[in-house]
Amino acid sequence: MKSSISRYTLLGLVFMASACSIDKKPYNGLPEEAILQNAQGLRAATDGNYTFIKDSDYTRNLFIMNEYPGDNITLSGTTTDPLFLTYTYRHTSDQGNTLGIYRKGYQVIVGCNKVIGAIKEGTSAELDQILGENMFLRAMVHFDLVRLFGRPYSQSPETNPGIIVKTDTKADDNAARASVKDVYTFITSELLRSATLITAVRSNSYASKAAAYALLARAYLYMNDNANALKYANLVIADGRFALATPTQVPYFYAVDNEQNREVIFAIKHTLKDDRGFSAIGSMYYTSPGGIGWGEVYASQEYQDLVNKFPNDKRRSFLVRKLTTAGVQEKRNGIDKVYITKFSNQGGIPTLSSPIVLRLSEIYLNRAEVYARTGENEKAIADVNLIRQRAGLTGTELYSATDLKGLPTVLDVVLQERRLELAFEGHRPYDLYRNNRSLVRTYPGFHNTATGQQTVTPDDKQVVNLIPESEIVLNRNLKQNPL
Amino acid sequence: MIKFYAFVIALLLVSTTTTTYAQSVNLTGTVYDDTGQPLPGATVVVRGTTQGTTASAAGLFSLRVQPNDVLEISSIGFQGTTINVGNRTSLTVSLAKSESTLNEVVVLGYTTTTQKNLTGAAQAVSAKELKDVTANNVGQLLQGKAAGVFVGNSSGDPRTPPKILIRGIGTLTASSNPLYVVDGVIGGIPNPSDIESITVLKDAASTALYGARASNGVIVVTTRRGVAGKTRLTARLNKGVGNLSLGNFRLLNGQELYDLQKTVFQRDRPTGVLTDYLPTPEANANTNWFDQAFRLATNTLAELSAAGGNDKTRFFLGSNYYQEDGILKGTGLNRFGIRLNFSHNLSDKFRVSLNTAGTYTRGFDNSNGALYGAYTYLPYDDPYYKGVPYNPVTGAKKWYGRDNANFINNQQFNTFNENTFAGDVLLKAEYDVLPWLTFSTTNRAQSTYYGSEGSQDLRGNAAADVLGRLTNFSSRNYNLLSSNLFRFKKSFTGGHTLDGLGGYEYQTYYYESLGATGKGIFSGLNILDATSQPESINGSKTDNAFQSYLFQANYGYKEKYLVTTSFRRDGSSKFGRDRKYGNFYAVGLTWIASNEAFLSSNSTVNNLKFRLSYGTTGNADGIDDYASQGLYNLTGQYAGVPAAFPVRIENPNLSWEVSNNANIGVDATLWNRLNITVDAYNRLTNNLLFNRPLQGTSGYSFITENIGAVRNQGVEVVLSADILQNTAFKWRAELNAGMNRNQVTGLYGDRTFVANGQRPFALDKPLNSWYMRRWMGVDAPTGDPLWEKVNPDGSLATTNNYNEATLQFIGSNANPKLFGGIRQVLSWKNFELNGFFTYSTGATLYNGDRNLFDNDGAYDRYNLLALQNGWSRWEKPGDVATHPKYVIGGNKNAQRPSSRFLENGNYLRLRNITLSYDLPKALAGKAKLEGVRLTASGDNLFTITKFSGIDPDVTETGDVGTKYPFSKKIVFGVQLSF
Repeated sequence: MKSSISRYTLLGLVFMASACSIDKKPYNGLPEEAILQNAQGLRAATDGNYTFIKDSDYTRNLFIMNEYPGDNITLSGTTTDPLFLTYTYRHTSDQGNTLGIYRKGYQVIVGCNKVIGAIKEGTSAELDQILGENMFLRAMVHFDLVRLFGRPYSQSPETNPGIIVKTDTKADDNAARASVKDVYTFITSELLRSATLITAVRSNSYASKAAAYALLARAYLYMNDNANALKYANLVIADGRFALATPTQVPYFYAVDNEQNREVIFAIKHTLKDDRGFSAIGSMYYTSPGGIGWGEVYASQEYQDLVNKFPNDKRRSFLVRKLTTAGVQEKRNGIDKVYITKFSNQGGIPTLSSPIVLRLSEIYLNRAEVYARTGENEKAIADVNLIRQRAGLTGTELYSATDLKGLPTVLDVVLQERRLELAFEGHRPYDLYRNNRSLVRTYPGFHNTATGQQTVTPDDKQVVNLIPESEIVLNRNLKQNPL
Repeated sequence: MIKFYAFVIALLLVSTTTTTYAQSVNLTGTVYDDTGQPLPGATVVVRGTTQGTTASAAGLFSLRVQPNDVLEISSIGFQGTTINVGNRTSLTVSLAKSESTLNEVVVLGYTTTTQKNLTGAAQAVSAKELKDVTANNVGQLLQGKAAGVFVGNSSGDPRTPPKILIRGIGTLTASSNPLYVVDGVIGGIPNPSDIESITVLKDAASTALYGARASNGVIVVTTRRGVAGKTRLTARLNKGVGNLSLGNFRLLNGQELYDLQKTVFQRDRPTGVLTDYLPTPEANANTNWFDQAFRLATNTLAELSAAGGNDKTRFFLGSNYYQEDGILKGTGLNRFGIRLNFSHNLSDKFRVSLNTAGTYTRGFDNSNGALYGAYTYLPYDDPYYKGVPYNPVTGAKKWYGRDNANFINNQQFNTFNENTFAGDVLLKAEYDVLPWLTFSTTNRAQSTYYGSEGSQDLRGNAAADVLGRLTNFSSRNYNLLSSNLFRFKKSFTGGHTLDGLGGYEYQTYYYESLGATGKGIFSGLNILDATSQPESINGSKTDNAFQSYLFQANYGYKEKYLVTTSFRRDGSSKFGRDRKYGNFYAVGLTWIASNEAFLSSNSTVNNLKFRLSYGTTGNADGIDDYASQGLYNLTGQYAGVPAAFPVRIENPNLSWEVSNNANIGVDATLWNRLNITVDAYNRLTNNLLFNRPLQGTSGYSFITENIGAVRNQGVEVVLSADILQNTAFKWRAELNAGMNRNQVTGLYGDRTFVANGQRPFALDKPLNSWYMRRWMGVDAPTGDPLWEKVNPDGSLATTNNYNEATLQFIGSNANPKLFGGIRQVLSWKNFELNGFFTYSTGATLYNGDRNLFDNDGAYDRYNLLALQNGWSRWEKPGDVATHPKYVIGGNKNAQRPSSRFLENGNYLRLRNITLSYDLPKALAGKAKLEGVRLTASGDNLFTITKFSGIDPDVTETGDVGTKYPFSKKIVFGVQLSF
């Protein structure tokens, strides 16, 4: 009897001693220490920050929130998507897209801060390159957020609140919003640092010295700092890596892989694996022949009239009329279906595109705006004409000092060309408000279903987005914009 | 670990010092029932030991006994008895049929007891009570049947199990799901066809042995097993139909919507072209999209089982088939199940059993968005064009609906099906080391294989561009568990008894998945080999492990006083490096007053028992398997290069969530016909596993920490009464009620509020308290929506600006205050009528998707909810209305979330009514059958509610979306026993 007890007890003890491991490690990643300790890990973490930007919370929201408050597009019906609130200027403090981009934006910033904090400047060219790319990304995201949540720089930047400037990795910082001016100061100084650190030449899917200069040119333009805007625009134009597309290239400009496109300075690379289907930016603008894509946001009648003025304008190819099988113009809620294809058909996939953040055309147009502001009208017109020639326009289709084609000033010429060229890429509302102009919509659409009229003045409180109310609950030092 | 060794050594010492044996003899006996028939399967146990046996088919048993032993003889449904052995070597016992349920066996998982000796708060539900309703999962069967157990249905899809909550929600962001235990140890397959009974364990004393995992209560499922005797064959066939039930919900028809929109269009756009906006009256189709989406659906249940055995070997062999088509076209499931429960006594001391079960379940969903479409598509649109389903993308005719899609068209092309194969093997061996000491080892290997296939034909919209698409996904998991226990049971002179157990358990879980999508595939083919190009691949793995040491000791005195104590030490791989282990304990006191001399012969009070328990239980579910470990996720890529991004902050201090449960209860039986059980409890859960939301600037969504506390307090009542007992016409009534109050009693730091959408966590408030803008009705002069605005000085005003309206607690919450079930059983001769109601009161529901179809024009291309009784729409200045002015494109965010969509969720539902008839024995006997039972039953035949949506039976969050409606079912059945 006793011996059998010991036998079973022994058996039990052996079993217990052999099966005690309750240590488990995740299969899908590594701890922070393992990633941030060497160049391979730091490069992967940097690519991770690009991955954050590629996230639809960032990219889709950014391109919608930058473009939809403008007058190049029309929304042909109501929708539960918060883009409806963006388009109609009915911003709410519980708007899904503002929360999405706010949180994703700081995720990028903290991701950058982790890498930046792990690198000692000057250790090696490889590490300096990584440092510079992260500084660029961090500055770019601050710039995107301050444009969405802070009032235009042209309106009391010293007193208007911008966003929280985040340079550490602290979790509960309870930080307050810096002034618009301080945020811009941070952005420009960071971009300058990143331009000195980045030395390698990589593809335009990554941050580069030229991208830093290009973003500096844009930021200084927004800040009304004409000298610096001119300086950095010239630095980009002088870089031989980039060239304007030719008129024959223009119709395929957005379907070509960005690496093959010499005009692109920086694009957010999307591969086949990143096809977002109905959640793609292009899905709102275009329904494929097979039926993929919402296809509910069309070129506004006003924009169509403008681009159709010159039948040779290659930019007309980005607008595609949807006809019925019988060849009749299709309508949605009485509005012509005129698809926009700037975010479609990369590699033949209807909903795939690598949204372009910076390209050479914008840099010329930035320079043109500076020239127009500083009275150098000839130079401004020359830059505008370069862009028009790129679109296949020639001869009398170009501007001259004596032929402004009915526009009152050269600045109007520049702004109209910006509108034509950069349409749907997220510039138009900023172009207007930066120059203290109102947004005037006079075309059918769901901004005003009765008359199609809507005017938003640059001092309207709805020009900026509201800080997400759920963030204010978490951080009481975060102050709201006027409701 | 050290503690365990110490315990084993102590046991060894005890066992070597107390072994004194008297002369033992062989006793043989026969057990009969009160009609003189042998009673196979009766249990005969020597009191105070684990020695015992089971009566054979002829009621015979034999056992080694000593003269001073006392035998306890019992059988389910009969009153147990005790016999002093003395100098007998044979004996004859007859057991009387039990009128009360006191001697019914209650399975507590590791241990079993009788209702009479139950020391904790546990409620048993029999198979018969469970299986009146037609459903595929235990949850739906359990709804309304156990006090304090909330069952909420998120969907009427036969594939979707409901949410089960035992005694309220005790946590903020971790899991509140109860633990499932099938046949004694954690895990298993709870196939409804196999179930003998379910016991719901609610307080610390009853859940103690599952301590670390039992914070949310335990559902103990016992499967059917054989009894010694003639092999019994049972066959059962149920066949029924289900039909759509919409409750109070109604959408506008084509003419109603047209009239409204035409009036508004002409008012607001006098110069607009009406035919651009609305169909011409001639073309005005009047499609009822609910009719298009739903159907009459059939269901089938077929069961065939054999059970039997002899005094050494017993078996239950069951096979079953369940099929339920969903009322939504293209949805449904069918399930094949098989079970073999086998047990064998190798010797008097050595017993083994093997329980094996397998189920194969196929589900399908080819609805192609029909559910959402039914709620939102416009009646203007006709799904057919020239006699065939219309594809709106072609533009061949005008399509008015918001979504440029027609599910009738897509249903021709796209399919989704899934299949799950689940297998479970449970091997148990038990050896009586000493008369009072048994060693048992229970080992479970459970594995599930899941596969799904989604096919998009190139003729449909989804995959026309890529010429067809096929997605295959498969996953498998396994769960291995070994539980090794020493049990002891000893009686001492003077009426003292001591029993208990000590043991060790280890459990590990592993999951992996693999999925792939290919494009370019010929119509009708569904293998990835036939795709012309790969589109995507994915795969993942995860695992976890638990390790436990458990002890229980129970002391009893003369069946009057019982003390149970338990201790358990548990470790989980999910927690921080140094905080993996937690200690849990429980103490229970029971006083069976009716066994005291002063009550023992009382004819009114047949049973009276008081219970008191306190203890701790834990929770580790609902958080990531590696929640304590910091993580850079490496599953991302940028430009085709693997990328790492930070997703989780390390928290080395993360540990168990702990519930402190106090319970006081009374059980009483009066006049042998009225049973009352009342329990009151206080459950304080602290160190909550809480995904604390972090500020956006942290770069993370949340960090999992042990913070905060939630209290649930409540009362549960279970009543059953045999109102008419000894007459030809019998009437039995049962009622159970659970009342629960819930409150957040701690957050973190000086926080009194943590954002969580419309149901934030706020100190001293119940969970699921509604927090939103307060709807103040419609402005009579303008028809504008109005909300409440709380000014900085605290004064109140109204505003028509949604942003200015103040977010606030509305004062109601989604938690039902009182809920349960009512059963009435009427029987006369061979007829039985069984009616079962469920009810819920006090919950306020958020009928949130009204923002889609009760939108005042914001979504004018969705259909519109018809105005219910007492509702009205503003039309002209001065109108006092419930609904704002209808404006195409929306009226000032009127449809955005606010208390406007909060509704009373009270309901009473006739969940099931069954009429059954047993053929007279003589008649059945002619067909060589032992019994024939015919049944006709109806599920959900009526519901009394004011709720404007389809169904107020929803999950604990109180959110109602575009819900898959429940069905009314009529089922006919026949059961034959051989």
